[in-house]
Amino acid sequence: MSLINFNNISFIYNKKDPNHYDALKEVSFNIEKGDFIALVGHTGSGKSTLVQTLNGLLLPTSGYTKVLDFYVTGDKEIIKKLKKEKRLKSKDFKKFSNLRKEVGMVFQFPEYQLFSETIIKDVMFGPLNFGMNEKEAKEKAIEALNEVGIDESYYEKSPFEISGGEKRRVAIAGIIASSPSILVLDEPTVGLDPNGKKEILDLIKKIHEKGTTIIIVTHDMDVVMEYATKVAVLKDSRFIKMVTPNELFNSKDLSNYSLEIPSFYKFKRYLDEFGFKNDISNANTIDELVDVIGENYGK
Amino acid sequence: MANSNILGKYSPYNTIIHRLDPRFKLFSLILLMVVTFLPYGNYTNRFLVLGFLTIIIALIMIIGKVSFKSFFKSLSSMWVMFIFLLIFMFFLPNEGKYLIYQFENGYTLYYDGLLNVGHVILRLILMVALTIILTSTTLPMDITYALEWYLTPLRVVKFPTQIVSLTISLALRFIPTLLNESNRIMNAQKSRGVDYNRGFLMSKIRSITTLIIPLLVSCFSRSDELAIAMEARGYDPYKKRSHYKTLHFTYRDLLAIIFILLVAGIMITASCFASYVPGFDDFLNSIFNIPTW
Ligand SMILES: Nc1ncnc2c1ncn2[C@@H]1O[C@H](COP(=O)(O)OP(=O)(O)O)[C@@H](O)[C@H]1O
Ligand SMILES: [Mg+2]
Repeated sequence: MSLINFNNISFIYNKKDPNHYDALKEVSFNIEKGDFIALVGHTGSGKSTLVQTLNGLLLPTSGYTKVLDFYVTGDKEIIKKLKKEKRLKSKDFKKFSNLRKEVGMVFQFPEYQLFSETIIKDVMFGPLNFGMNEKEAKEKAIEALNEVGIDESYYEKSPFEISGGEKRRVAIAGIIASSPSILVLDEPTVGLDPNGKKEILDLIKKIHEKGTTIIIVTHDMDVVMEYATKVAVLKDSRFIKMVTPNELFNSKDLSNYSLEIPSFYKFKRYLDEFGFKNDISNANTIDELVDVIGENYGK
Repeated sequence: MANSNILGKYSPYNTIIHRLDPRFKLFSLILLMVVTFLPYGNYTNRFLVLGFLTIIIALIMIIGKVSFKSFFKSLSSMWVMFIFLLIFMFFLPNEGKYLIYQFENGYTLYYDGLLNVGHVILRLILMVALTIILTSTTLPMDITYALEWYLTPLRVVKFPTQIVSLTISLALRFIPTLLNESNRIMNAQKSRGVDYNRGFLMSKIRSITTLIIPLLVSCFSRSDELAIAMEARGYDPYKKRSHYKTLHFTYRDLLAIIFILLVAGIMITASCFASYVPGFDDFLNSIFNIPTW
């Protein structure tokens, strides 16, 4: 049983308008517990639309997204069928607060969600909404703030008087404080400097190591190579394939999906093109490559 | 955020109404609005004349592919007003000529009240229809250009027309941006467990603050950035401006003007006759064979 199951979902924006748009077409694939999935594809390929079906912000026009035991769909036929087969009620297709507790969602520029007078209050906001009491929520908030590296001296500050990178970390703390079992991040590193970027990514890695399933939307192939266990590729609203990062970058059709090659694989390609004689196709890390090259020099 | 378009939203068709000059559309809108408010004599006449106008407006809506659904949606919020009108013009003691019923304690109900309510409602519906025709067939920017064009004569008295029209354009320009922004913020807050649809007064206020505060913060930073960017590119509010889009008046507009003037002419004539020519009511009624009210 997969943790997440996109079952033949399509999504149409402005369905009844002259300028309606098919943002997703018959997307089907599964995500397993503990995966670190990178979702890639050109701008407008439907990545953000796809991830928003994970916590019921968007309901698939047809098909359904199954997350844990929750079904997310706006397809009347499917709702009717599920009601009969699984004994679900109408409200199971309308109320998503239990689902949203399980699926944390970090959007682009998450700092826009800050609104409380103090940082600690803002981080406690999610846990309180999901039914924890003050004390539990505060514990969770402190834990989350520790995790993102915001120390105690900040707790009573206003979230509007700290730096951009700190704001983003506070915002992420506000999401992980409700201990979601799935964390979805839609281009979380946009607009950060290399250091800030690395901080966020290492943070995500740490969260993943604790057992949270991660789904990250990104254009940065170095991130895909370094962090992801699997890559799902979207193109023109359709799902293309889900493979490991190595398989993706070693395949020849990479440019079809408007994806950039990570510097490491670019280097491998140059070696190939210039007729390097050893077989480097199995070298997938810098160390392995160094070893293969080293053999040549009797090392 | 499809529900946030009270006055209608531009729908990108390419009908003849869409292609008309926005200056002309704005002018026709105002002309027809004025015409609906002219006096037309007795009740029979009023409804005859407004009925004529209703048919014309419905025709324009059909030609311009205006969504009747969104039209009725924006009317649906008017029922409160309808009740108020009914109370004030019908149930509260009023003067009238055509009696429905007289109670023993002297409380009377007149048909006049009902007819008056119907008249006011019909006028309002026509106003809404006219506005929706304009907004759904004309881009907001084009409406602003038209407005600026009409304000031009005021420059003689040193009225800053360009600043006013820039302010309006900016406001219009930022409506979709802010809607997007508020959509994004709402999505983020919903993911943190806020439910904007549920709850009563206090919890509603609380959930709205989670939207308003971030929206204000981003609004201020946006307007700051915009001002700096404009200054950096040498914007001077008092220089003469040019538009990247010039408005053209074509033969199509001419035909449309003739049509609208004809309609308005008929209406104004009817109004004049009804008000100043004795016996006109009876004349009309003898043609259409309707009892006079
Ligand atoms: N709220 C919306 N209304 C209409 N169209 C939208 C909306 N959001 C996204 N789209 C369209 O859907 C397509 C897919 O968008 P999105 O899922 O955001 O792509 P991505 O995240 O891969 O860049 C885009 O072409 C975009 O223009
Ligand atoms: Mg996106």
